[in-house]
Amino acid sequence: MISAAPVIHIVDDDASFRTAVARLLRACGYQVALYESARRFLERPPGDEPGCLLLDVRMPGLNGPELQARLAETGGPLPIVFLTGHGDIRMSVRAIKAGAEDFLSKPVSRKTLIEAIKRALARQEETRERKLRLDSLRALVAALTPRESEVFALIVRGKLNKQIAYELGTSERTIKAHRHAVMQKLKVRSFAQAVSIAERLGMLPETGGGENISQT
Amino acid sequence: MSLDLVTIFVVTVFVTGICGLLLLYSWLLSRNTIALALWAAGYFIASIGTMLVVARDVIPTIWSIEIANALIAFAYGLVWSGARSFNDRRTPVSLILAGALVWLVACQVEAFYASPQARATLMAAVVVGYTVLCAFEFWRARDHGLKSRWPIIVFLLLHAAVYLTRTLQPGLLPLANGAQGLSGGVAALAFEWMFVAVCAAFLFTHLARERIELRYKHASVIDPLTSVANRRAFIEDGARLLRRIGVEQRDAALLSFDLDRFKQINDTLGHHAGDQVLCAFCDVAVSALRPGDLFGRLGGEEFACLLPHITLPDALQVAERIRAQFVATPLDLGAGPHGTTVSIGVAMSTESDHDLARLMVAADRALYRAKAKGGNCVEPRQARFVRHDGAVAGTRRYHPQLAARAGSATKRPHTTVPASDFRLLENVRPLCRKLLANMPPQFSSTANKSLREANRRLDVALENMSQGLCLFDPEGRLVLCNERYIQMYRLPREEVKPGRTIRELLALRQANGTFVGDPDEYSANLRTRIADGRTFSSVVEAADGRVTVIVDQPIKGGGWVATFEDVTERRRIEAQIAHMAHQVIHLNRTAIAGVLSASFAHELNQPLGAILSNAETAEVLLADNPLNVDQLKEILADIRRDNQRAGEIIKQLGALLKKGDEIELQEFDLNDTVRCALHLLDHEAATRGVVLRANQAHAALPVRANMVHLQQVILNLAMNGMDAMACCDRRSRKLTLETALAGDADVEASVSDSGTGIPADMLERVFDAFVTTKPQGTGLGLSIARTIIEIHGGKIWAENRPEGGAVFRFTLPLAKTA
Repeated sequence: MISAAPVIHIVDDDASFRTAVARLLRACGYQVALYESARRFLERPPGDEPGCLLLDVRMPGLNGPELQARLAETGGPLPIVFLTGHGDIRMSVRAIKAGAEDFLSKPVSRKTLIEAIKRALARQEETRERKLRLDSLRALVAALTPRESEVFALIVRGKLNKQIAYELGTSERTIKAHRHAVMQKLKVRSFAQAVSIAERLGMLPETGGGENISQT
Repeated sequence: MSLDLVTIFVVTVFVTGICGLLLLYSWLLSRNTIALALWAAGYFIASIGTMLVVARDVIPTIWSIEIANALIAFAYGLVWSGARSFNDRRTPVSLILAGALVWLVACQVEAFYASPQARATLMAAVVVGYTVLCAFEFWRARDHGLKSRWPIIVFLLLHAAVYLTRTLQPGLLPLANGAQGLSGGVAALAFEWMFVAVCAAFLFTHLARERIELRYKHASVIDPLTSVANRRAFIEDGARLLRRIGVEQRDAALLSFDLDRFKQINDTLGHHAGDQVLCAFCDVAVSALRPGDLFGRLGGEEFACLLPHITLPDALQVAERIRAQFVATPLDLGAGPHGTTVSIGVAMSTESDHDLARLMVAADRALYRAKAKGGNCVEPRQARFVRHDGAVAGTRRYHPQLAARAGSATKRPHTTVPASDFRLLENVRPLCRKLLANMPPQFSSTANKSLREANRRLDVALENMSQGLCLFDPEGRLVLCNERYIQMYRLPREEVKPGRTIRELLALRQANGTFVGDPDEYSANLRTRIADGRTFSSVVEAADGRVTVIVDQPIKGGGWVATFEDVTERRRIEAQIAHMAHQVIHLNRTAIAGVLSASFAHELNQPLGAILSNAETAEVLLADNPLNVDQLKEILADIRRDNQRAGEIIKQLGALLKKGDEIELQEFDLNDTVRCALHLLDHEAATRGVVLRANQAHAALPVRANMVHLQQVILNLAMNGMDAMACCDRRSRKLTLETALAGDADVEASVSDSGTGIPADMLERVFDAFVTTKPQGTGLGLSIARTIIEIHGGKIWAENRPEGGAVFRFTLPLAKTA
């Protein structure tokens, strides 16, 4: 599912700077997309592919922080690195609090810029991976039959087979067979691993009940 | 000759009555003189008494003798009481009536009544008694200075003598003459009586009038508060006194007094206390003076005293005595000691100078020195001075400035040439005497006096000019020059004489370096111009840096006047003022640069950021094999372009911070300046949440001006506008910069904001220095904007916009590109 090289989206009204940074990033092997204003960016928002947003703070029309707020509303996944000609502490704190990955001042050296981009991409990658892993676990759990799901929910709460059998109104032997199927389908060998999956998917009591599993 | 006695008596009655009317009329004119009324009453009563005497044949004797004579005695009593009243003495009614009563009582004695001789004697005694008393009364007040009193006394005494004679020598003027009744002696008496009555009445009225006049005269020369001579009296009498002293060839001293801290007394204790102090001082001063001394109040708390026939040490002693006594005088002013002291200036007249005005000025100068020493002291005038630069001229013009002004301004101290510039006259005095002795006699005649006076005034004017002045005749020879000219060019005094040619003077100046050039050429050139009737003016900067303005002005009848004015100092001050104005303008620009520093940093970081990225890209690309030369070229071109861009920004900042005294004018499009300003303001506006708009003319707007200064004006106006919107709602903050053609000769630029506007009463004043509507404003921005715009020949003004907010507009003349 992993796509090709990440795309760096550069939004800056200063054409000269935009071109120069784009050139540098291309030379460093990144794909870049250029936008001369925030509005242009919103006209063709990037999809789900990896990448990050290099955003100028002060621009005519919609400025950097305003675009950041707009993207947060729509839940865009791109990490944001701010670039500004002359920034102050107040401005940077506000940006970081609003979820920006970094806040850099022009002129910015290649090392700093690339590091910031890498950090942003790594963070994004990590987020993506975590999400992918959870998605696959969710898929495994979703593959269980309704009866197996019931059994799984009870197992991870530490219930004994006969307790489960009693609760579900069946025999201990039947439960044993279901339990075996669950372990197989979830591709786990030990009971502890099964509990771990349940926990990661938020199925344990403090995060809610087993009823929600199929929905998340 | 036979006289009809009755007729004579009737005439007497009428004359007496008319005299009574005359006196009554006089009294009505001056009611204050009660004596006139008493005299009038006396005359009327005497008239009635005489009438009764005349009617002795037709009325009972009790009327014609007893009552008639009683009335006449009473009339004499009234005249006497009138004389007393004139001297401000009251007379008891009993004494006025005494004569009449004595007569009436005597008439009760049978033997007396029967003897006409006895009756006549008693009446004569009464008449003589009253008349002598009356004469005594007038004699007693002889020092009041009324001249009419003497004839009155004479007449009265004559009258008394006549009656006395009649009493002692009855035969000489027989009372009765046979059966006819009244004798010729009586007729003579009646004549005498008429004569005395008329003369006395006339003299009485005259006396009263004389006294009134004397009082007015007195009031005009006497200070009413202190009863000493007033200013006018002092100056008139003093001048007269001094002339007399001059004739006697003796010396006099003038003391000038001024009470110290007198105003304080007046202000703190009231005017009444001040008056008391003045009176006390006069008492002290008058008591210390000799009989012949003249003392007067010149006005306010200034007094003067002229002491004739006195030497300086004695005069100083008198002054010191007055000073010491005044300090020691106890005064009850209700609030502690009066604390007032007196400062005294003393000046001596000398055999050669007896002019009161000059003397007063000299004493006044001494007085001001005493004042300067802190008061409460006596200062003699310093010895006479003369300017060291010309002993002869100096003696003739002793204190010329003072003499010229002495008439009008005797009170103010004059600061003239510093004392260090003077030398004691004493050294040259013998020389002066000799010169004066050798003068032709007509020189001192009165005919030449006014001419001399005019000459002296001209000298005073010339010597006190701040400019150097020379007068040349048509041949270019010096006629006269003033001292300033000699000093200005440091010329050897003995060489500068009438008759010197302009060329020679220039040569003298060339020798000491105050003239650069060729004397021959310059003088020839100058004389040609003068001959053409042209004024020749030039500004000359000498080798020593002194700048002189020389004006050679032809005069009627040939020749010319040259004036030399040293303007070095003025030039220096002008330059200083201009420099300071530039400093202020520059400070304002620095302040703008400070405010816009964030903007500059932002602008500068864009190209710097681009340059860094491009350079680093190039580094990366250099590792490639084969090299992508085209891209590297592209990168280098971009770097160069961004570098230029950064340079431009730094140049702008530099221009704002640059300190230049000269205004360099260049021709440019006002639109460019506005664009540039917009760029600089961009960041600042964004930071302040202000929407910046521009509305520029499509056509080019060429102006000839200093670009930096114009930008400064626009930035000042824009920043003012942004400040004005600081407290407005964030969404409504709009600043608009507009440019347009105004007519066909001007361009107009405006900066409008959407702020609170300017109070109507401030619209005119906002451009004044230190006038501000902002809490943190210095009030200089707009004042500087106006200065700059006016320097460029434009106008600037402020208006309130109908839709709210203010607009600042300025116009500049359109540059002629053709």
